[in-house]
Amino acid sequence: MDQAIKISGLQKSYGNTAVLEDFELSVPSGNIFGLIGPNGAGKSTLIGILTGLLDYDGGQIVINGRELNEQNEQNIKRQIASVLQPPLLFEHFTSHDFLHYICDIYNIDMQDRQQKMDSMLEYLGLSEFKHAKINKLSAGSRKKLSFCAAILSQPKILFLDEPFESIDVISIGRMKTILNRLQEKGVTTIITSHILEIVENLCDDIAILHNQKIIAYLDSETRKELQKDSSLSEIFESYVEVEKPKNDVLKWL
Amino acid sequence: MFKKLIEYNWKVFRQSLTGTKIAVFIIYGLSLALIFSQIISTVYLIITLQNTQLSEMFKWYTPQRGRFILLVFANLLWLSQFFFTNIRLMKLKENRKLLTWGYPVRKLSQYLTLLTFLHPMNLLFNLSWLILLIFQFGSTYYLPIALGIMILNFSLIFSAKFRVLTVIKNYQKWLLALFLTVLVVASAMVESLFSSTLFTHFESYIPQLNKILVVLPGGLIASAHMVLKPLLAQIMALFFCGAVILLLHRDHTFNTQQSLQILSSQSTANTKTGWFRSWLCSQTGNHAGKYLYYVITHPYNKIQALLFVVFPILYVPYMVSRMEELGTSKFLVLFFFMYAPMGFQLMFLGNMFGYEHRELLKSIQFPEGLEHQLRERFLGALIIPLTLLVIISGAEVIILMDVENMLSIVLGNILIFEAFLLIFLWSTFNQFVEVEWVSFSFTQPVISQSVAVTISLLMFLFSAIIYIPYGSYEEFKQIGMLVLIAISSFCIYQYIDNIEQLFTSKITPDLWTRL
Repeated sequence: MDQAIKISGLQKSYGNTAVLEDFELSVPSGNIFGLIGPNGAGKSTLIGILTGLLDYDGGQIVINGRELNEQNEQNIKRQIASVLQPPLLFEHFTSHDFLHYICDIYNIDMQDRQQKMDSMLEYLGLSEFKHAKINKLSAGSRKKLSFCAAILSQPKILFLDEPFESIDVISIGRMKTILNRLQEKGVTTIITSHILEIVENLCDDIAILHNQKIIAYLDSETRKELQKDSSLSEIFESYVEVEKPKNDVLKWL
Repeated sequence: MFKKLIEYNWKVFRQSLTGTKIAVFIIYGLSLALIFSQIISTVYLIITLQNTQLSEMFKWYTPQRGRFILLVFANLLWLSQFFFTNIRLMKLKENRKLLTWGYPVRKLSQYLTLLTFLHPMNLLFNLSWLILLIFQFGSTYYLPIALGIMILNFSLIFSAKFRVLTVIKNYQKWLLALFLTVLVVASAMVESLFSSTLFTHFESYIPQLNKILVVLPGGLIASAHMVLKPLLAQIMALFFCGAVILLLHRDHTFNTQQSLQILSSQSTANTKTGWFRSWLCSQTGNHAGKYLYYVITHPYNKIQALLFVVFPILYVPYMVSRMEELGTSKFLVLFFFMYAPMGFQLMFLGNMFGYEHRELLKSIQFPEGLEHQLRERFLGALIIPLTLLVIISGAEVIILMDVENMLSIVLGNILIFEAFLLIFLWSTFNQFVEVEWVSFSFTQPVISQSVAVTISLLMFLFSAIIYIPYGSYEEFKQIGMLVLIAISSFCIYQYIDNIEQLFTSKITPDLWTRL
């Protein structure tokens, strides 16, 4: 199977603190890939590096067959899109202007962009906020708008950092439908989330990131085996060996 | 509780201090001290002139004229106070956090309102009034009534300014049109006004003018001593002041409480400035267009831009017509001429990377070279100030017809422009993190008063050094300026050349950690 992303020997540190050390990961093309791990494991840093926002100290990253370097950077950026936490939006634009701007940047055909924009906004319940300034939108609407912008840029790889946080149940369902449609078209999606139930239902392969490394890679076959007896949450806890608190530590409570 | 609030705000302030900020505060403090000493010495001079013995020394001095000078000064002082009074509350965002820890909202609002009185600019004007009033009353025995008048005046200004700003915010377009109309009429009349017979027969107008000036706010304060010397009048006035101050304080506290408790809510209100953004983007490119759209549509910047234009339009024609009398102060004309391009430079370049804060991260993700994006933004920000520089240098050559000093003037303009360009570029890298979303609100401007005052003072001093003719040493001055222009041009070139590297090494990681 083709690899959408192949990372080998990746190093990243902030000052003297290593965040990723000899990091290795391969994400198959067309996969909805879940990346889970405790707080501070380095998930967001990894997304930051892969979306070109952060430099890294060493190693190699290959995205859709091209090595991520200065020469290929723009070509790679054209193939990827992301929804970060918190979402990056142009606060003083209206939702409509923002999506237009994104379409301009990604050279989306003028003829059908309006129809695409309107249908996305309608599907995710954002039509009434079309001409409202983004800084007046609620947290959930902002997240959905960021998702719309990412989809409209027609990416081959989609990075979603905590995409379902602050979003209502109906919209989560619709976002999942969109992600499944994109998968049918061969788009690879990488999702980081702490809501393990969603990751469990939506993702094909899942990797657990802990202590600067991938400590477990669960492809769909392995998951089926493991999840016969236990939930993803229990599997996660068994891999991430967190020191259990003493029984009487909260006795004052 | 009040002590704890002060301690908390002091800690917040201390943590926000950087090397640059300390320097700005020192220059700001010096500027305020300079302004204060100017006001007090003027007050002293005006009041002392009313003394009979001194006034006998000056033949032109008559009691009517003396009173006219005092009333004009008092009203100008009041107008300046209205203009510069800082109604900004201390770190609202930080103090709002105290509410979640159980700090009572009413008490917090009251204390924050009281603390606005201690803003250096507000203290400067209030102390000036206090000193003027004590001088007028002639004894410190009248201190309580002087204090009462001073606080009442401040409270009234605070309330009025808050409402005026709200009206300006709501009726910007209409007010702008009205202001421009008045401006055009005023600038057309300014020369004829000064050369007309008005000044020849000015003496006969003074009594009538005094009657008008005395009922204006400044005139009322300056004349308070005439009616408030009797003890009974003082007691009644103090009672009146106290009651009004209490009412106004309640009003201020209520406004503060609203600001503390209201957080932005979801809104579907339509905004229709998309055509303007599209036009800017089509003319200057997507990145420059977006940045220019942000700067131009910021309400504070609209007013600021208007002032940068109004100030020279009002003063320059008058000063140009008086060039002969100005002598060595001629440099003031050149200083005022440069006010507009420098003001716009401050507005457009002062916070080139901090303006949009983490939105910049979105731009970095775009499939367009970062260097291209940053250069486009930099050149876009320069368009208006640079155009103004060219127009003004050309106008100076035509209007002043000072062939002898023409080269010096043009070189001076370029040098000032480049020197401040370097300052703004430097600050845009080192101070960008200071800008937060709250900076886009009307009462929390991106460019703070301390920075604006510091820059104005620096520009004034710089102009004095550059524009004053050096006589037989003029050639050396020109060579010196040429060398400095060459050095600053090289620095600017280096900056543009390294813009991407500077950005990725400093700004992107900082923005990321603040995400």
